[in-house]
Amino acid sequence: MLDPFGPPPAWLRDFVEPYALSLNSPTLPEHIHEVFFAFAFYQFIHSFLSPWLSPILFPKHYPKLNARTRLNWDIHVVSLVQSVLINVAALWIMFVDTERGQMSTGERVFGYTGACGLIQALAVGYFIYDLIVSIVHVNMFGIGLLFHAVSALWVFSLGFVS
Amino acid sequence: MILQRPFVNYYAPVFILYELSSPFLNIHWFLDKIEMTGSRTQWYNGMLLLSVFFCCRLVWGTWQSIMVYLDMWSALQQTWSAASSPLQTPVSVNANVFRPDSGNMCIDESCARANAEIARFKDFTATGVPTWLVVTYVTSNLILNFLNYFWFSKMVETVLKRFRTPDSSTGPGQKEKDQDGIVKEKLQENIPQDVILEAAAKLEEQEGGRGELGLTPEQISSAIDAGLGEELRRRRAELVAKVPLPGS
Repeated sequence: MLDPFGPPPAWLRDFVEPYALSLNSPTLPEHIHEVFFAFAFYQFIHSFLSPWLSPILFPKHYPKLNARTRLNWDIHVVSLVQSVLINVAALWIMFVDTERGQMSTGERVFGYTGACGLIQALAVGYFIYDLIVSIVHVNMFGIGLLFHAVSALWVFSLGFVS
Repeated sequence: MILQRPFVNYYAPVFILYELSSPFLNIHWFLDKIEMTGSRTQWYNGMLLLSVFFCCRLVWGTWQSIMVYLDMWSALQQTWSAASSPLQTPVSVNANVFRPDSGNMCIDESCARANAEIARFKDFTATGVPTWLVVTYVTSNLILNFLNYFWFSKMVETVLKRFRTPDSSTGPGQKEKDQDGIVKEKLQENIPQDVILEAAAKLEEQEGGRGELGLTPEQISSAIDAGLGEELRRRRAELVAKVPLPGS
């Protein structure tokens, strides 16, 4: 199945390609816009949507939370949205991507469909958000969470970068 | 330099499904924060959490891990036999990997494009798959699967422990919950409910509130809190066991 999100703008693709190729990652330029989009979407939920919507939905609880728990709340909102979104997307692609479904043993290892690339891009976008939260709030969460974010980003980038 | 990707692109949506249990873990966390700890909602959510965790991480995860190992093993064999070819230039693995007829059955252009896309990056994978990449992948996969089994065993342990030791929630612990005015019917059916909730809390403590892999300081501090609670419960249970209560 072709990438349902659509291709990146040509200028972005051309700009990213030399860097991606030097990282052994020829599929990344096809999905870089989705990585950015996913990151911006999750950061938007964290910074604007959750702080605006949560006190409306939970007027008795959210405003009373201390700063640390409130931050944690926003992070959990992002996590909830991303886990629902990516599960639905993955299940949908597994059912409708016929090219993926017909892959042979070798194609499952070396083959590519745009739709599977989209799933990787969404995951990488989320873990970039996660990494940035861990860096910004390193004083609150400590170096362990930062380490966790780096390793998660690494594992989920395997298909793109390693 | 010869480039190498894509690599097991097919399995991206497969292993993302480990995340299927994360929404329930998040909901468990939110219910704690909106003073619905021990509620019926949290109980149902906890049961869903445990069963989805078991299905997607242990059953589906193990099965698909074996599938990806088999696929990578066959790719490695192709790579090695191509590399040991007596010809001067290494043989491409592509002839064995990609079927030349794919796309022939298409009646429209987007279908043909989608079929051609499978082999779109074949020049980057012509030399096969490097052994170090397979080793890295299998190692990460094994660690993740080990953690899933470990977390699940922790939850099972929590459940079993509950049936072995005296139920402390009929002691002073129950009073606290009643003061919150949350669930009165807990008195009748508290054992299965508490067990599920404790197991869910155990996963939260082990896995981290967000359902991802790894240990975080936040998790450690919440584990300390949970540990304190557990210590208190244990002491209460011992006390209850030592002091025979009327009717017990």
